[in-house]
Amino acid sequence: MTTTRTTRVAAAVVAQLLLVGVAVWAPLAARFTGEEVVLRVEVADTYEPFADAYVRLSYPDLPGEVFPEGEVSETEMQQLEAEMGTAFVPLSPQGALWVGGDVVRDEPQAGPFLRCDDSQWQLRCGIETAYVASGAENDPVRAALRSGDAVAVVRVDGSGHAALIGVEPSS
Amino acid sequence: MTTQHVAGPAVPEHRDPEPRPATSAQLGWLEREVEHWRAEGLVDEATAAAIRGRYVVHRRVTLARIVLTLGAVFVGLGLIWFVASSLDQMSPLVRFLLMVVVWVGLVVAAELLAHRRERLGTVPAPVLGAVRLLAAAAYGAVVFQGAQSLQVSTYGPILVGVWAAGALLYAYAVRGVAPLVLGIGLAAYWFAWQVLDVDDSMVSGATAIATAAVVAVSVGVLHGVGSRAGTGWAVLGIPWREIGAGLVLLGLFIAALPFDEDGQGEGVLAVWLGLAVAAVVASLALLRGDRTDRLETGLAVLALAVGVLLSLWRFDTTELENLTAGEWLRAFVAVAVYLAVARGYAVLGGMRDSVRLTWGATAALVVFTTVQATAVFAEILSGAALFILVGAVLIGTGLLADRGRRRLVREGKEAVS
Repeated sequence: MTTTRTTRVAAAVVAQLLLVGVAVWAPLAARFTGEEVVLRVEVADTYEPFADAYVRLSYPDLPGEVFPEGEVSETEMQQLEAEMGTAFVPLSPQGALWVGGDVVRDEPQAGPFLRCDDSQWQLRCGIETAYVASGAENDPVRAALRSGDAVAVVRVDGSGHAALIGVEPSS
Repeated sequence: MTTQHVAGPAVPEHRDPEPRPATSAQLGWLEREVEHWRAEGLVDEATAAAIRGRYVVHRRVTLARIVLTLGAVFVGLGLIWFVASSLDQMSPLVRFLLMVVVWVGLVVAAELLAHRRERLGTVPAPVLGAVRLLAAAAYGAVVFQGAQSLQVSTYGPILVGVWAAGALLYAYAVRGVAPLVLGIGLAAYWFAWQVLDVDDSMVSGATAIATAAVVAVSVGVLHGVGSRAGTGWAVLGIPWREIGAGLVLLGLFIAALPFDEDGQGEGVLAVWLGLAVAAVVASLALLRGDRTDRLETGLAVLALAVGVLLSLWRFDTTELENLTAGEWLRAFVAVAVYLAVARGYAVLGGMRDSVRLTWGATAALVVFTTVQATAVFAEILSGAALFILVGAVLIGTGLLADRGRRRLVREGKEAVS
């Protein structure tokens, strides 16, 4: 009785771990099967960017907020809100770096692209936060992020899921 | 009561088993009953004394338990504090692994406690249940930390769904009610979110909740089929049935609201899939269950059907001052149906011997009547009239429940004779 229950619990724990894998499948797949692209990156929070070991990033070569510039009528606004949700950003090479094009709503046929979400207005592609291990104050990665000379190494898989591998000073 | 009997010394000619713990209320009842038996000549003096001698008074709250609980709470709070204060310096992987360690630690602790309980019987059931509940909750921390560590870009309902599935798996692995309650609640929440994520209209919300209710009630009823009351599976059916009852009352509550919300209100795939599952399990429950089971399943199905009709029968009620005849009719039908279903649950609570069902149904009735009265009937009913109405409804419920109880007692007698 007891041993069978212990066996059942062990099996349940294994199954639960597999379920976690299902929940985080997209970034996990990108991390292990994705193609590597390099994007320019800087800190998003310029007031106190290194308060802890996690840094919010922004990508100058990707479309930022989807909020349209200038006057927008009520109906245009509603149309925009109805459209928001899954957003695709096609990527194209520019020298050693990659840059993103405008947001499209249909999945691109070819080439690396990012599958993002802009239902909360801000474009979220799963690469917005970096862990910068706490080191010395003159850490080269932090210095590069501050001065805008940093690049992010990102892996993108065939369906656009992205995973941030690391942030480096651009050479 | 002035019972003078004190548990006498154990009578030597009986093989003396381990004394069993009982609360003082239980012992008081037993002593009165034994006295009746002795007076009727059912048992002799020696047997009566032996029966009384088998039980010892057990105080529910002992000093040891208070200290143990307090100690566990302090250690738990300290751990959470430590983790929270140092979390922002940990790498994503360390964060995730820490949650896994906490979760597995709780699962192992629960397992050790369960062994101890089986071997020595020293671990009280609520302590074991609490640790298992914590283990099922900690699994949620693992799921969400995993998603955060890997930066899942959209925190959709899938994470809650995975948590629900994990909690249910664990609950059935240990046959534990506490993690099961969490799992069922999460599963219902996940389903409602999945539907509202696509279409956040009242029609979809009310239908999703009512559908989840039919599934929960039917699954609960099926637990009881083929197993005796009080045994493992039947006990696991109780949270399904009772959470299902809560969902029935909630879904109907939303469906009966007079307000109109925009939203497509149809064509949500998840709702159709949910309805298909509900149809299958409800049919099984209706076919296999006994009379009480059929009443319980039928109530949930009725609430779903009426809820859908009420949701579709909506007027563009923007101003509550000038209600049309149709709107009045809808309001009266909604109130009548809600009262019928809530009373059904109050009676069912009596039949199932569940105080929670009866009180839950009564509380839902009060809330529903108050909301409907302030939302719709405020124009014609004063506060005083509202209270009289609620009172009358409660008295009616009480009388019905009492009649149900008396009938049960009568049927019980007939079955015995």
